Amino acid sequence: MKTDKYDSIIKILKRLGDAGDLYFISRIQNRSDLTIHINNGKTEEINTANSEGLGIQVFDASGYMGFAAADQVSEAIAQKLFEKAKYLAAQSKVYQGETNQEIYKLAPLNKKLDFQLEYPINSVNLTDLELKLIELNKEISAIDNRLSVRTVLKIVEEEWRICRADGTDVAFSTPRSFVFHSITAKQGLDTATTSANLPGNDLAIIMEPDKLNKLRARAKKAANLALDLLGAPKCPAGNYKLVIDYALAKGLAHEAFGHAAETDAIESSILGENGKFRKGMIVADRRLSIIDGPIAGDYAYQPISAVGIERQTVKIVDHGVLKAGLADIFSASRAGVPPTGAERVESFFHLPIARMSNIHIEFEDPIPVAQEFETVTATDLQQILYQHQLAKPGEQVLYLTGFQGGQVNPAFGDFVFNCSAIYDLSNENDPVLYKPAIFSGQILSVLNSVSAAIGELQIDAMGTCGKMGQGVPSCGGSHKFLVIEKNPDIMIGGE
Amino acid sequence: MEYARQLADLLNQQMKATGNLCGWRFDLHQLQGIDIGIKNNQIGGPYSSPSFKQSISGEIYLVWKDHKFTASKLDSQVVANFTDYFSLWEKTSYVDPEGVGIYTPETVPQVELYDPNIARVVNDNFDRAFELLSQGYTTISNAEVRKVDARVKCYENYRTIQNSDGFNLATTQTAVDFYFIANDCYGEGYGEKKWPEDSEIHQVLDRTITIGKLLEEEVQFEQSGPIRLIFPSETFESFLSHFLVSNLYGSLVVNRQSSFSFENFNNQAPVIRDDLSLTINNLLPYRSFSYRCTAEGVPGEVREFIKEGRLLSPILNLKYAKKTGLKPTALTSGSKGFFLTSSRAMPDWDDYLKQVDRGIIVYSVLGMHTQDSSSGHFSLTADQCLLVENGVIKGKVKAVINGDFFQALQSDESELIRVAGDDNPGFAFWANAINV
Repeated sequence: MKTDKYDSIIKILKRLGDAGDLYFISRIQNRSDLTIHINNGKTEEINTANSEGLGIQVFDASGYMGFAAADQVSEAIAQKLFEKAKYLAAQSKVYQGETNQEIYKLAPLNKKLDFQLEYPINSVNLTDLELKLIELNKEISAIDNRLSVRTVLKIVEEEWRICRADGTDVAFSTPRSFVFHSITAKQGLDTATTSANLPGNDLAIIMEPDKLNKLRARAKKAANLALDLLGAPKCPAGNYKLVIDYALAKGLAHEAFGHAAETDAIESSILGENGKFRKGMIVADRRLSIIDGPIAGDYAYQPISAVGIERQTVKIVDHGVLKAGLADIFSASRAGVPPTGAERVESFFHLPIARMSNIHIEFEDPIPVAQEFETVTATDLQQILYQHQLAKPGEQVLYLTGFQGGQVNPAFGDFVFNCSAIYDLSNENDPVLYKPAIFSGQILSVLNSVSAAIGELQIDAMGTCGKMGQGVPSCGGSHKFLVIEKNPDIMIGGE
Repeated sequence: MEYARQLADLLNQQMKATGNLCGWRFDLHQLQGIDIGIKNNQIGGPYSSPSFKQSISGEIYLVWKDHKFTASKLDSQVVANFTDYFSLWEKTSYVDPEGVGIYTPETVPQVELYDPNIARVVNDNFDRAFELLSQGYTTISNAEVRKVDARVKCYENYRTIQNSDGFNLATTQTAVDFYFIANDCYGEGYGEKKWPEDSEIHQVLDRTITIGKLLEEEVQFEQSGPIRLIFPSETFESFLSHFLVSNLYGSLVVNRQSSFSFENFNNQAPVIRDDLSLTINNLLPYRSFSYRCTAEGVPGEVREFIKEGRLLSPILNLKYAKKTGLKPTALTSGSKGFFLTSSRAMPDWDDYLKQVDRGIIVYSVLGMHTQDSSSGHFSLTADQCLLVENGVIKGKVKAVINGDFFQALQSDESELIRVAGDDNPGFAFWANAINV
C-alpha cells in the first residue's frame, strides 16, 4: 500500500510518545481524485487532485489532549506536529479543558485491508471515459428539448494508515465512485430539477453493462419525472398515509435514528437520558430493525475506524427495541454502551467523531416484488398496495419518491428530508403528481408508524453526510418501499 | 512565497521545453491556523481539541495547444514531484472549444485583508483564542444558559496568484471565526479578517443569551395557515443565497439550469420588486467575503446584478463571460458578500415587531440544502421560531413553512426591516405555516 513507506514516521512518533509519557494516535491519508463534469453534452471540466497528510492527536496521562495536522508526511513534520499537539494538550490543561482517558483502554490491533479494485482510476483511457459520459448525458437531453443535464463522474482512491502509542498499526483503503445526473426541465417560468445516481467503488459503475443499464433506467425515470413536474400543483400540507421509496427510507433511518444514536452527543440527544443511551426503549413495530455497518464494495465502506478499531455492524433498533448506539471510544463508556468503532474523519485534518456508514431499515416478511425498482411506476405501486390489502381503492395514500437530502436536530428530535416528487394514489389508475414537499417528523414516534415493506433490500442510496464541519460518504436504504401509516407527528409540507 | 516562485519557475521551464503548453495560472494558499472548541460546556475535549493545522493548497489551470486545458488542485508535493504531476496534468487535459486562455487584469484594487493581531494569535499567542472562548463561556453560563457549545478558528493565509503572462499578486490575509450556541437552539457568530472589538464580542454574546433564553419557553401555536414570516438578516441571507443569488450564476443561466434565462438578462426582465436592488461588493476592508481578485485574476469589485427589480448581468467567470460575450464579474464568497437594498424606507427591527399583529420570527430552518433552488418553492421545518402576537414575543414555536420565495420578493405586502449592524435587512412576508 502507498502508506507502507512511512514506518520511520511511526517509529519517531513512538519514540516521542515514550520519551514524554504521552499517548498518540496518528493518521496518514493518501488520496487521489478524478472528477469529470459534462454539461449538456460538452465537457465542462476534468479535474484531478492528490493529497497526502498526517494528523496527530496527543494525550497526556491525565487525558488532556491536543491535535496537529499538516499536508506533508516527513520525519521533520512528524516531529513538529507532535510538539505542537503536545503544547496544545498542555494549554488545554491550563484552561481546565475536558479530559478523556478512554483511549488508554483499547487493545492494540495490527491489520492491513487493501481493497482490490477491478476498474481503478488508471484502468480506463480518459478519453474513452469522457466520451462515455458525454453519450450518457446526451441520451438524457435527447428525451425532450426542455431538458438540460449536468453529469458528474467522481472516483476517489483513498488509503489510511492509523497508528497508536500502544503499537496499533492498521492500514486500509476506502475507494469510492459515483455518477450523478442533475436534470432540469424548464418551460416558461416553471423549472423542476431531479437527479439520478449510481454509486460504487471504482469505474465499474460506467464500465459494466448491467450497472450502466441501471444508471440509464434511473436517469430516464428522473428525466420523465422532471418533465412531469412542470406545471404540477403543490400538495396540500397535512398528515397522510405514505409510501416512501428505499432512498427516502435511507433518509428516514439516517436522519431520524442514525444521528440521534451517535453517542458523541448523547448528552443532548433525544435517545439519551441523563447522559445514558436509552437502551431497551420500544421505538418501532417489532418487525422493524435498523442496522448500520461497513459493507465491502459499498460507497461508504470503512472497515476500520479513525482511531484504529474494527468497525462493527450495529443493530441500532432490533425488532422495535432501541438496542445499541453508534459509539466512538471517547463517549461509549459515558453513554453506557460498548464502543463500536464508529469513529470517522473527513481527512487527516479532522478529529474523529461518531458517524454512520451504510444504514438501512429491515422489516420482516416484506411483500415480494418481481420488478426492478427502476421500473416500478406509481400505478404499479398502487396495484401492489391493493393486491396486498395495504390500501383500499379510493383511500388517500401519498407516494414520495427521490431522496433530496435531509437534516436533523437530535437534541429536539426534529428531522426532515425532502423528496423529488409526490404522487397522490387516491384515484385508481390515475395517480396525481405534486411538486416535492418536506417530510417533517419526530424521532420518537415516526418508526411506530412503519407498517409494511415491499420488495427485497436495496441499500445503494448514496450521499454525503455533514456533521461538525466534516463531510463523509454515507449510504443505505431499506426494502424497495416502506408503508407508513398516518401519524400526527409526520407532516408533509406543501401548501 | 518560495513555493510559489519555485512552481512558477518549473512551469516556465516546461513552457520553454515543450511546445504544447501555451500558458498557465495558479492560485496558491499557504495556510496555518488554530481551531479550539467548547462542546457541552467543556473546552478542548475529544471533539473540539485545540488544534494546529498547516497546508499548501490551491488550483492550477494550464492552457495547451488545440483548445486543450488542464484543471487540477495543488498540494504540498507538487514542487518536489513536479515531473510526475506535470505528466498527470498533460494526461488529464481535455478539449474545450469554449475554454479560455490566461487573463491578466489591468489593475487590482487594494483591499485591507490582513490583521497582525490575528497573525500573532496563529503564530505565538494561542492564549488569546483560549481566552475568547473561556470568557465567552463564563458570560453565557453566568446568564443561566444550561448548555454552551462554541468554536474559534484563526488563520493566516499567504495567497499567490500568478500566471504565465507575468501577473504576480501576493497577499497575506487573516481570518477569525467564532460562534457560541445556547442550549442547542440558537447560535451567533463573527467571521471577519480582523480581530473583533470588545463591543463586537459582547454583541455576539448578548444576542446568544437573549435569543437563546427566549427560545427556551415553548408556547402553543394552534392555528395553521397564512401567517407573516419574519426573517432576521441571517435567515433572509440564507434564502437569498439559495434561491436568488444561485440562479444568477452564468453557468446555470447559459445551460438552462437556472430559474432565469439568458434572454431574461438581455431584456432586463423584472424578477423582484422594483424598489429592490442586489449588489456584490468584495472590496470592504477586513470582511470575510472580501478579496483582491478571483483565482482567474478577475478583480474584486462593487457591481449591481439586479437594479430596481430588473436583471442586469449574470455572475460570470471567464468561460461564461466569453460564452455570453459579456465582461467577467466578481463572484460571491460563500453565502456572504451580497447586499439587497431597497429604495423604500425601512422600519427598525424593534419598531417593526411592535406593530406585528401575528407572525413568527424564523431563526433556523431544517432542510434548506434539500430545496430545489431553480423552482423558488420552499417547504421547510422552521424548528427555532418565536411567536409574535400584538407586538409582543410570546415564546418558542415550531412550524412547517412553505411558499414561493420569488413571489415573496415580488409582493408589495412583503417588508424589509433594518437590523443595525447587519449587511442585509430582515424580511417579512406572507406564507403558510403549519403547526407541528
